[in-house]
Amino acid sequence: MQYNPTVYVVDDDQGARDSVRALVRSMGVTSEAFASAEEFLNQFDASQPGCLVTDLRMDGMSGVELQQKLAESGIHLPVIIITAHAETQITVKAVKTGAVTVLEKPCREFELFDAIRAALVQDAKFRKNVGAQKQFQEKFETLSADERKVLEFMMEGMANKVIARRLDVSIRTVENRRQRVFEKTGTDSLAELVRMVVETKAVSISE
Amino acid sequence: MAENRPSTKSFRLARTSIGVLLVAMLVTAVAGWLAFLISRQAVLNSVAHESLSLAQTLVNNVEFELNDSKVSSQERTDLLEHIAEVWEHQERPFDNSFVCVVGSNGNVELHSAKPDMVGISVASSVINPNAAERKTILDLLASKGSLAVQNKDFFGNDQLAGYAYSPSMDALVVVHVPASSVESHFLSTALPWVLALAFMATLLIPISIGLSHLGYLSSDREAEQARQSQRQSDRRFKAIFDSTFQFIGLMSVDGTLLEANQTALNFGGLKKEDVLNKPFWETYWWRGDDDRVQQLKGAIARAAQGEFVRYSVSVLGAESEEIIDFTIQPVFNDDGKVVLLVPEGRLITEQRVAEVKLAESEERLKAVIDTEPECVKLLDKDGRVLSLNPAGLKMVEAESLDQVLHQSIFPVIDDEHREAYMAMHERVMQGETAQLEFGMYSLNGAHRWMDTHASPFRDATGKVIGHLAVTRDITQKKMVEKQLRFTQFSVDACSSPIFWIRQDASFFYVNEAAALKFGYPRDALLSMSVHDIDPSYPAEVWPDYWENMQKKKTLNFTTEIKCRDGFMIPVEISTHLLETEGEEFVFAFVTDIAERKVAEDLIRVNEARFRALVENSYDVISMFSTNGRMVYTSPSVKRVLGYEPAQIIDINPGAILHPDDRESVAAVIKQLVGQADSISHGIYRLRHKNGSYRTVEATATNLLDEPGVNSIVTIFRDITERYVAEERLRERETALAHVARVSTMGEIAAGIAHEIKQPLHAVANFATATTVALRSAPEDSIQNPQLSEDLVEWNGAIKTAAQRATAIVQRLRKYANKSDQSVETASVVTLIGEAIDLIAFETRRHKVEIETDIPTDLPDVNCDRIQIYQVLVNLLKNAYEVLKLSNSDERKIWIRATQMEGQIQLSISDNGSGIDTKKQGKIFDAFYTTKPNGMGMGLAISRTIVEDHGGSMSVEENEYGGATFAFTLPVASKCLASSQERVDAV
Repeated sequence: MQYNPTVYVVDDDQGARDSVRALVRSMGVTSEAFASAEEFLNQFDASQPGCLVTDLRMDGMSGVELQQKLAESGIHLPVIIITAHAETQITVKAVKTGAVTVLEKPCREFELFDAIRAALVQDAKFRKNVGAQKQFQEKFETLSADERKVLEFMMEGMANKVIARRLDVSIRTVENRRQRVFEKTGTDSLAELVRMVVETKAVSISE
Repeated sequence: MAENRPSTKSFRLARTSIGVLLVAMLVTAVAGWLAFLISRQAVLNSVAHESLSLAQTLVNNVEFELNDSKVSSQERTDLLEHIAEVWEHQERPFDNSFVCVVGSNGNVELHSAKPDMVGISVASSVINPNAAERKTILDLLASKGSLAVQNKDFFGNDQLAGYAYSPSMDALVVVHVPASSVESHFLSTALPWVLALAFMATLLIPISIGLSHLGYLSSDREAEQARQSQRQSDRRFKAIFDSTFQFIGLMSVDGTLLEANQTALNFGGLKKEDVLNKPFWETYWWRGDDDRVQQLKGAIARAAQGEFVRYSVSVLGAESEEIIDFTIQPVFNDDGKVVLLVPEGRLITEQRVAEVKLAESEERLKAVIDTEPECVKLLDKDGRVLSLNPAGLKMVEAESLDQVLHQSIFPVIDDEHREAYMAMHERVMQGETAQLEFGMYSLNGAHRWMDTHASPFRDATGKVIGHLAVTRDITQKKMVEKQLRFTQFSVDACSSPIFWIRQDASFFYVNEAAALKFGYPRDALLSMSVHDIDPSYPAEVWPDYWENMQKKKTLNFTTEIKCRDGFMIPVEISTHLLETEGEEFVFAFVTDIAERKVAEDLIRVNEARFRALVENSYDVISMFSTNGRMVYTSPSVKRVLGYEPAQIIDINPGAILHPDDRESVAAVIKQLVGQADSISHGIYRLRHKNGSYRTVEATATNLLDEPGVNSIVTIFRDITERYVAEERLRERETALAHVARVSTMGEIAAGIAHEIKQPLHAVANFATATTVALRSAPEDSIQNPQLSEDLVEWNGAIKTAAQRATAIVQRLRKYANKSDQSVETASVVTLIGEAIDLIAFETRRHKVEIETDIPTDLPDVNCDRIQIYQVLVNLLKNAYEVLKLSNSDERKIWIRATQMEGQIQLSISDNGSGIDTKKQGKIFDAFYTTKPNGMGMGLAISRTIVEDHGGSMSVEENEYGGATFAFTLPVASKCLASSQERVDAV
């Protein structure tokens, strides 16, 4: 899949907007600019890959409010908030709600450049991971209850013998079930299986 | 009748000579026939006119009943009945005469003889068949005329008719007399007599001749019988003449009066013999007035030519002159030749007489008043001028009568006398005569004194219809009287003794001052002589003095006069000789030299006092002429400027004036000179002799019109020290204002810092973009048009952003700058714009909207820009700081500018919480603040700044619930004044 992201620039100051777009352009990336958060929310397409660069203080909705709004809507879009006052409170609040970066105006050389690049990488990666996890989740759903139980004990690092005793089945049965878990999830090693489960939170979902 | 006269004559002649008799008989017969014809015609004419009179009488009856108003149909019917009734009781000369009324449509409305004629139209009946221009009934109705004619009636019978028009009925009242009845009457009276005459002439005369031989008796008896019969017919015929109330006569064509009726004779108190066979104009009636006679002669001549003559004329009666409507009717024979003239006169109604009399009397009055040297005027009851003679016109300085005619006289009477004049006018209109002296204004505004003698002006009925006044201009007299009074008063009241001395040295007159001065009662003094009061002029030398006086006419000398108490007073006497009516007097004017000496001393002392005051004054007092030259200066000028007064007077004041002040001083002088008594204050710098400048506070007063001063008086005081101190104070205040600005700047620095980050941020991003683009591009891609275009654009953006940053910094710096205290012209719009920019970040941040309402044609103001900038920022800051705390979503600041009388008012309003009214008084106090971290200096300093600029600052609650701060600044044109006021304010 071709990754073709857009950088959304939201700032009520024309000069700032233009400068960020220039920077994005120099990176060879497409950009779209909006004078306010409301305008952006009305127009952007959530399915499009990319990231958001927003000023903190604006007429109307602020940068933090915008970021919160996106998070609430379950939209995963990396956000870079630029502020004239890098106030700790705002920074903390922003990071807590999942923003990637908070930058202070004016940015040091390449600071914003780096941040945008990182955000796009994160977005690309995220979008890729989302695909793998989805497959794993489907495979995970095919596991029987007994097999899931075995998977659970496996993830806790129990030996087959211990599992057999806990479940009151033979070691042979545990080994068979273990073999089927690997087969059904398409994983080769215990480490991979554990990572996938953690990433998709499959175990907790199952509960 | 005329025809009996020749026959009587012939009868007498017959008694003497048969031959002559026969000839006479023939003549008589011819003459008799002619006379018969003529008299018949005359009778017919007179009957026609009588008919008209009767008709007129009927009309008058109706008109009288009606009082001139138009009639309704019911009234019309009543009127017709009324006419019929009157006619019934009317004394009529002929039995068959009748009256008819023809309405405006030509229909008969009343016919006293033939009621069946009523309703028949006679509209087109010709009423004057014998005249050249024929008239129908309708024509007559249309012309509303009246007419007396001989014509034919509706049935073709000859008749005599009088047509009289009744305006109120719009109808003709016609009195008809059938010619037949007149003729039968005439024939029954006159014709038998004529036939008898002819018969007697042919038959009886020879017999009578025969009889004459027998004796006179029988012939006399017959003659007597004939005479009696003649008289009888004469009387009856005369009745026609004499029964009319109008004057009728008969004239030959040359104007010889042949007959006159009794009415005419009675009127003149005459007998027939007095008038008959005389030229008419020589008769009594016409006597005493040549014009009247000439007029009559002319009329007779015209009538003799066949013309009907008619005019109004006054004729002499036994008791009075009366106006008559006089006509001369020519009588034509069958050949159309005028053979006789019938003069008739009808007394015009009394009212007409009165009118004519009034007109006459006016005429006479006019003649009198036109030649009268004094003003004669006639006023109507409302005081309007009806007439004014030339002398009167001259008095009121009117060019023509039109200027004054029908104008009320009252407005030209002066205020003092108007009431009296109007009262007099009222009295005159009541019939009294009056006299009044009064003042008035001529049309050209000159005041004049008048003496008027007024009397009522009556019409013929004795009713007062006007106010006739003879007025004399007594202005001159009044003036003389006044002057005389003044003169006498001045002499009486003169504080110097005055004497009029006779040749014998006795006093003819002494004034009160003389009596007082020398202690004698005035009466006593009058019984004394020069010798008694001046020992140096005893009786022995008096004739010499008088002789000398006669020679020189005027003598001035000093002497001593003895007072009653024995004191001798030194005096100066000025004497003049006056000769009047053969007598000589000496006028002596006495001056007390002793008093004069004291007065002179007093003046000297006063002058010395004032001089001392001026010369020792700490202030410098100078006088300048209009051209700016110093004409006097007090000695204190040396203390202030180092020059001696004499030195500085020669120096042009402009030369020692500080060059910067010259222009303003010139303006001040111009303004001063333009208005008497005007005063100007100002502070100027003058150069001391040593070259340094002294600051002086000067007051200049225009006393150019003040007698004895006639200059611009300037008082100035050296205030250099005070001025320096004031300057220092000002500097301190300026410094304080600066501190306040810097303090404010600290408060708004955060906002500014944020604002400046904006362009810096942009610069950083563009710079990074440039670097990235260049670094990531292939080696040769510098030629890439897309890239280079981007780079150029970004570079431009960097420049713009950098400029923006610079501007912000400058704005801040400007605000933090120290004021150089210079006053310059500044645009209000610019000032407000800069102030808004400075706090833009804060207002944006707190979502405060700023609305400005500034007229585009607002003039510039004079101010210290930085300080006014400070005031505006301060007020805006206060406003948004209040709004910051506001819960309202709508936070607004309104900035308004209005121009009013040389000032501009700027107001800044907010819709914040407003100011507690209790605190409004304190709000401008120093160190008073409502803000937790405020210093309390902002408003105090702002107000000081505004007041230093000659303006004022106020606060009030506004309609938005917030506060409005307003302050005024003088507009730029008052450059000098404002800077001056600033100095004064300090």
